[in-house]
Amino acid sequence: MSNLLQELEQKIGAFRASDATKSNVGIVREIGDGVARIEGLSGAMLNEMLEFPGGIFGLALNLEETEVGAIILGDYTKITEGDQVSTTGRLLQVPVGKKLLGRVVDSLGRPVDGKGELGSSTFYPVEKIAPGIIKRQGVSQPVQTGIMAIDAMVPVGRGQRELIIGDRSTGKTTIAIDTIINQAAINRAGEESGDPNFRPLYSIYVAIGQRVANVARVVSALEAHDALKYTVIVSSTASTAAADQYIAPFAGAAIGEWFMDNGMDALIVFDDLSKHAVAYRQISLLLKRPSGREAYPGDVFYLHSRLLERSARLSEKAGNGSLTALPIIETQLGDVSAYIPTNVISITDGQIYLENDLFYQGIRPAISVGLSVSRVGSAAQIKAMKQVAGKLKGDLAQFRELAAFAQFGSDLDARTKAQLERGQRVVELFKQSQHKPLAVELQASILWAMQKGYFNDVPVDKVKVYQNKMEEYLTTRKAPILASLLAKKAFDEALEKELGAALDEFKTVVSC
Amino acid sequence: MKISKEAQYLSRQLFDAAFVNGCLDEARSLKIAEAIEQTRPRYAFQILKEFTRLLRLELAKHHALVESATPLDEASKQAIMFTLKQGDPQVTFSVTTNTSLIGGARIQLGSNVWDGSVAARLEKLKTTVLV
Repeated sequence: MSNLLQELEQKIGAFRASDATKSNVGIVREIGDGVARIEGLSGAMLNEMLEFPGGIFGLALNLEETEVGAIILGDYTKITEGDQVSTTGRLLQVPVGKKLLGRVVDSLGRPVDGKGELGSSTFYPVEKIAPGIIKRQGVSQPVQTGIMAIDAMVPVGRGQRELIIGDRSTGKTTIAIDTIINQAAINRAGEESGDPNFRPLYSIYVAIGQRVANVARVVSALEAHDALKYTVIVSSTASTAAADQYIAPFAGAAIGEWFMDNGMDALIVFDDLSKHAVAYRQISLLLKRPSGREAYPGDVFYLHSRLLERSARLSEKAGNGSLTALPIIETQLGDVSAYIPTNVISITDGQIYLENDLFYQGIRPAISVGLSVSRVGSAAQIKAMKQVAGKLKGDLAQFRELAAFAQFGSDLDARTKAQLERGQRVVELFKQSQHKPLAVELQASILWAMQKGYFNDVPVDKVKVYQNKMEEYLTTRKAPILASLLAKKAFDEALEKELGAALDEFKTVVSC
Repeated sequence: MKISKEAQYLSRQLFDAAFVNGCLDEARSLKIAEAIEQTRPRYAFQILKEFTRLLRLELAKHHALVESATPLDEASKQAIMFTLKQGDPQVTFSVTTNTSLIGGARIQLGSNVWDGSVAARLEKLKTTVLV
């Protein structure tokens, strides 16, 4: 109680000491659709927070000769023409820190999960200049997605920006959620091992313009896999104003930057940037900014480039933290050459392209091998994976071509037949159920078995069953081999011998 | 009101023409307004409206509104005027009494506000204590 009184007295003391305050004010001349035009405010700065009556805040985006165009963050229906607006001298900030883990917040960092206040006292500005050249270093540590097709063929490294692109309902969000779930599993195992060098990877999932039900589904999936405690969810659903949707990815990036700046690793998923671009287009048109291609404003490229440039791997001197970004783009009828997809493709360090046809053929995740690429991730792949998956991408692309060609002819030479059979088996191996990520050592072992011909005499339609049994066998009976592979991170002669013996034994035990 | 780009451009030009030696000339402004009314160019109404808006903003920029809780004495008025003139020699000012300020004074010049009223301090205390 005495502490409370002391604190109150201090505050009253500060109040007494204060002199007349100087502020800069303006009058709302127009208000509608979340955008206000304000006369006056001669001292307003770009991106400065503006205070409206009733504790509502706005963001100054257009500084014109006699007016200021601002977006309203909150309920704009309570603002009326003639209301007085004042500058605050502050940039928009969001709470950051570990206290946000396990929480669902809105684009301003306010909790929306009903679990009470965040209690975070650290704030980061929503807009921040990306780390410069000196502060960065190359991508060299992997982000294990737990999805075999990705970890083998389009590996992602810490600090990389890998785009997930595809039509609606092709499994884009699933890939991102599986990655978060896999990271949570790795984090748990790392914490249990007590390894002092273990670096956990925290996740941030930013939902932009998504249906509320989708966000609820993501939250429950993460909760079900005990992954929510390593995740922050920034939710700006379709029911929120365009201004909130515009701010959300930047707020998420600020939350991720805190982990990076404090020497930790974080992963951020922007789901999705197509809707973000649409929200920005809406704001820009309401602010009467000139429109360009597809009515998007001229700076829509800069909007996404400045956002994604904030993902980086910092140098040892700068704390060795990293922020990996998985932006998602939804295409229309597989058109990757549309305006926003080409923009984001050119900004990112590679893309995972999901094909509608593959999805409906039952190949899930429906990753198109030919169009998916990781420009920097191979440097981060562990050696064991490189040893077994080195030529896999090329082989699989060749298989797809051959398969299309083989449809026209029945007489195929033995070499082509073998290539086709192998391709079919690899395709089967890469099929994976959602929310069931595989550990990297298990992935490498399976691919090693494939490479050494352990799947050759298994009928194609039984490959998946055989693989599942093999995984179970290896994890339950041959765990030391997997542990040794994880520790060595490469196949050596002794390990290959041990794994070979184990798989020979498996063959005798299990028949398909 | 929506205003065309052409009207906006023309009103801006006419507004610039209303200045003599960097100061807004009242007579010239009236003459311009009369000329618009008589010649009735395209978008005459929009031009006149925008021209008036620009004039209003310009006048507000150089007019200080002094509000005080109790009537100010002559010495205080002179002191305020002297201080304001130092920053802007063109400044004019009007004084009103506003009892809702409870105590102290509030001065608004253009979009700048200096608030030393008790009401503002109480508001500040409210936000400080309630945070």
